[in-house]
Amino acid sequence: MKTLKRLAHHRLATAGAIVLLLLSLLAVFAPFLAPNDPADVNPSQGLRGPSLQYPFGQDALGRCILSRMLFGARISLTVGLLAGVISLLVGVVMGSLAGYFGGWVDLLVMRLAEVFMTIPQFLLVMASVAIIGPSFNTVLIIIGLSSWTGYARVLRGEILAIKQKPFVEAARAYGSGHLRLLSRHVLPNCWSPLIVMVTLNVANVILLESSLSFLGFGIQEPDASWGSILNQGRTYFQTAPHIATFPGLAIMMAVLAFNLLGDGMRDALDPKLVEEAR
Amino acid sequence: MQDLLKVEGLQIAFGTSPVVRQVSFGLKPGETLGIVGESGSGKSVTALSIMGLLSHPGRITAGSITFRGQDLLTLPEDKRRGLRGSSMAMIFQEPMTCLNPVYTVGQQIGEVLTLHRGMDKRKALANAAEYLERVGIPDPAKRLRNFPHELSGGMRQRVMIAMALAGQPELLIADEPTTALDVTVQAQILDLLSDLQKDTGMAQLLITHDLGLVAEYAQRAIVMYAGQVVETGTVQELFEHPAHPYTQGLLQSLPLWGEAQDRLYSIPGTVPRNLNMEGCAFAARCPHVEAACHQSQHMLPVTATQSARCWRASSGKAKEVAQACQ
Repeated sequence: MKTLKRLAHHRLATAGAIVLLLLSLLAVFAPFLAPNDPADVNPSQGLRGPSLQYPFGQDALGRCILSRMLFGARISLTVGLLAGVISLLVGVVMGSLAGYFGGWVDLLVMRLAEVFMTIPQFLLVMASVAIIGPSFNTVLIIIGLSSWTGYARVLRGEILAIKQKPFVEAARAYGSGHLRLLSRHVLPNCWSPLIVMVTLNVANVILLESSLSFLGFGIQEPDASWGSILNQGRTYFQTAPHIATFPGLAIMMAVLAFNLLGDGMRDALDPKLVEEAR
Repeated sequence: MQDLLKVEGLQIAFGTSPVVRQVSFGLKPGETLGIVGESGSGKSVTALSIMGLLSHPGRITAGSITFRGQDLLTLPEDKRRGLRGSSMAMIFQEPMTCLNPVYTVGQQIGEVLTLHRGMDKRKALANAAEYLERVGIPDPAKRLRNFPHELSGGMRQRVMIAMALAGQPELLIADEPTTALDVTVQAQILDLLSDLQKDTGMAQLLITHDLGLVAEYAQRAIVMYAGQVVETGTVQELFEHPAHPYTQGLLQSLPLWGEAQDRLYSIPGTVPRNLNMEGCAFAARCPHVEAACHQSQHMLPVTATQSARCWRASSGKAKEVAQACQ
């Protein structure tokens, strides 16, 4: 609770949280807020700019961009958050094993991470999706499973450093077992860099999903995500810049908001930083 | 009275090189035993091995550690963990870094209470205040909510002591508990420890390199040099007629109160790096070295309670040497 209170005092983080909350509300209530049917095609009105009926303009097929973006927010945000959580979970488990237990476990996990890292993430995701077949769930799980390496490496390094601290030995000296040591004494001291990483990672996942959608491996038409609208707009950027501009702004806002929130959370979770800020 | 803790012939090696050799001592309930020695003499490693906290590459290669008649070295790890923090507790040298920075003082004392006394979190937090009060922290209810970085070094060491007490230990190992603290705070902490000892009847192992502290707070002491016990006895015996040249050297190098001294005495040379030697480990630095020193040395009785690892100890020569030094 105290952490939340401290977070509330952080102005930029509050701003980030509010933006994310607004975006989520827009996504949740998309059916009520959308001015038009996102799948309604009007080829004769293709590439028209913003108007009263179509506030963000129309795409090449004459569909309402605002409506498509509202529904697209659901996909972009869900993929971002869920894939972010999946990769965090996998990364924390792998990093903890490697850092805390060390020895051959460490060797095994880190070599596995390196194998993952030698293959460009985008190619890995694309190839996997191509084999399994594109769908919302596959994209989610594959992106989640392919971006754990960063977390694992950072966490391993943190744990290696924290493990040596006298308070961990003191905790052992009053009878803590491995699980308690790891979960209560080591991990809580490692969160700060991970939290910052999560926000960057969520932003990155949103972009990754956009790229996949562009290549036809991600979200399939007629569904849309911000990325797929943006990439459709690229073709017409000189004649109809509004198509790429609005989803681009939305992605930027979401990514920025996640980053601000992450920064604030890092400060709020660290009692020392709070003390210095006073 | 039976010994609470008995260490016999303890050998510890880091990899293949020995760091503790043939260490034996006993500790009775309610007694304070000082372990004196310079850095690297094996004091802390001995303490860690009693707690079962020796970490890689350190391992016990021979000997036994018996606690309440129970052989600790054959005890399975989970049973040993049960002893840690409840029957035997340890406080460390660095109070600044021995508390977890992300939890409040109350949560940390509470953790020991939930772990070893089966209290739920709410009750543990309530009882934590009582322990803070016992270690002399004013306004304990308020301090419970403090994070470690909000406390001074002395306060933190008091919190560490409170955490140790919370498990109601029979044995408290204090590994240089005051090295990082001011001299005035040092006295407060040690007075606190001896008061608590009187109240609870726990035995204490006071590890230090400060002979003054041993004289003040311990009843008996062992002197360690290069991983061996070189002398053991009551504090009075050790200070009045030390039998081992190393102990003599240590005492000579203390500044004397009220006497003008140009330079303090220092023992020439350094601690040998290779401990696999034959003969007395102190021979290279000893002012009285003779041929007999290069044969292996055993603990020889000087009095009923004092013994030293020096061939002169029982021959009466030790006293001559000691007198010559004074």
